[in-house]
Amino acid sequence: MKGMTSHLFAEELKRLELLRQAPDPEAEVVRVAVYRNHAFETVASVLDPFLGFSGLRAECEFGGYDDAFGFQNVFEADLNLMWVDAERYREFDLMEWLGERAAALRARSPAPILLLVAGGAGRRGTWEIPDLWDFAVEALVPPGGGEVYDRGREAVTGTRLSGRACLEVARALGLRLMPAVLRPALKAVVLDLDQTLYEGVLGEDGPEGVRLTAAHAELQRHIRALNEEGFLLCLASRNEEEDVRGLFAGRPDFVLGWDDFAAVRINWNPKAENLAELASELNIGADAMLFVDDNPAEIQNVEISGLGVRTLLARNPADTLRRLRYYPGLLKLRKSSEDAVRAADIRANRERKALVETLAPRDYFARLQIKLAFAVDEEARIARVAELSGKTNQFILGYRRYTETEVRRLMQAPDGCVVTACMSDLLSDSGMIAFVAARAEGERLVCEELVVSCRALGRNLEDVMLSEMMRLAAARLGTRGEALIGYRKGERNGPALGWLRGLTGDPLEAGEGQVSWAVPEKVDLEGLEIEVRQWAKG
Amino acid sequence: MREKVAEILSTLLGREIAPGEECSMESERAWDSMKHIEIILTVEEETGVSFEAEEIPKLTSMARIVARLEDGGRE
Repeated sequence: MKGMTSHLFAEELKRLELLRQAPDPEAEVVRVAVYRNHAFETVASVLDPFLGFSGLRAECEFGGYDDAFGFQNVFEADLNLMWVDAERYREFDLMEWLGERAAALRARSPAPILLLVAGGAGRRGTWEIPDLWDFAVEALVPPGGGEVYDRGREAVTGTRLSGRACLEVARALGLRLMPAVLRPALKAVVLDLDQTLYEGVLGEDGPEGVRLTAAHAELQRHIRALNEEGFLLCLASRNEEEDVRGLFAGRPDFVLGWDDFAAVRINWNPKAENLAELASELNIGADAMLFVDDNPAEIQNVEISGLGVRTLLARNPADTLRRLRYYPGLLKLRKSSEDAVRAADIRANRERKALVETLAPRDYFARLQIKLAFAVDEEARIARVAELSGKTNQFILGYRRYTETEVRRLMQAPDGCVVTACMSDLLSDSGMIAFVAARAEGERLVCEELVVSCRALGRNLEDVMLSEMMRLAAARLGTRGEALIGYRKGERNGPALGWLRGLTGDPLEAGEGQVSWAVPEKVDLEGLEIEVRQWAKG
Repeated sequence: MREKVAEILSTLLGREIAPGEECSMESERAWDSMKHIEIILTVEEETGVSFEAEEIPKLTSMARIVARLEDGGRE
């Protein structure tokens, strides 16, 4: 989103300023079905300015007020919102009952569900319903700055929530929750050092002289928490590396440590050049990185570089912290065990890269003791399949962006299957790094989605791994001969399309389509350790 | 105060409204019951004045809102 965005991240939101913001005609429409027992309109009216930051806008369909949440009319939607005032119910196990109602909605709509409960004493659901996330409304309104409730106004507005609370809920939904559900998360935060993570200039003040103010410590704590959530941290700083290592070694009061950073560029090169190198080293798209720097000129240079890196100008630590708290893409709703192994895997990738350049593929596989574990329709993989489908931008053919519910349905369908691949080697366990989603159309296999994590690329594994996955899908569904592989051209899936061109010899001239490919009866997996598990249809 | 209210109404009703103009729920198609709530919330936020719940349904024109803000309700 271009233009001024300060009013979106302001400490105190102003309805008039938000309403002044002209709608973006280019924004992608998100159909939101609102099921509620109190008014949502005062939130909905200021949702688009926040969503616009992520290139989205909402078209809300409102159900009537219904304390029973009976879902008489279920709207076709990209997102379902259950908007609940708990105070309207007698004392009983509300969260359990809401879980039942959400399950009823889930049975009738595959779209993700956000359940926002006001007045529920902060209780959260313990149910396990796919693609459902619940939040206490009070937790979305920052403390201070006024009351969450304004009971005197309920008769007029239809909700007990105060005007301020409505604005804050719109901000939380528009900047954090809805982008987290609908858009891929960011993958890395790249940080400047001087005047960003602390007060002072390392080259002038020395390691002992730079100051960690209380606000900077809080900022560092938040960045550390992002790292624990699975976001990679990097440094891009105009300094001497030796000085920076000395700084982190000599300042035990710093919350962040040298080892928290997955990759660093500490030199005097242009930052755009360093950011491009960091993206390449981490094997991620530059548009999956957020660059934080206190220097407006550095921010501007990165913005005009065409890399697509998101930028955040660090004006002061409190403002930077607030922006990071709300910045779209920095909330992970779908967590997986792969998040924990990512940083170690990226470090191991540096060693793999050196080997892949010097050894023949079989020798490389054997040297690294690469193990591929394939699974067909394994329910335990559903969350990770949805996560990989939602966040992969480079090696993705169909852009299906499956929800967990859709993955489950495909696994359970007699004519559908999902084949997943996990990879480990001598250096690290990469976890689940690829999947193929396929259907049988008569005797022919149709691959509707094929995704490989960027972490698994560059190991000469794509061909054998994907061929074996297609072979397993064909065997599962009992199809024979030629398969059709679906593709859709996107902004960043050049690597996947290039692979498909090489595999099929088709120039892929149309924006989207299907190409024919003969599924091999046997795939040469020499040098690899292979495990295959089949799961019964659930 | 009239200028401020005209500015708010211009933004929320989507057309330029002059401070001296007649502008009311009856004359403005965009000023429906939901928009009314939004106008009230925005006027309160911008002026720091908090209206009583019972007077809100009566503040259905620019003149009435301005009068309420300037001298407690006498038009």
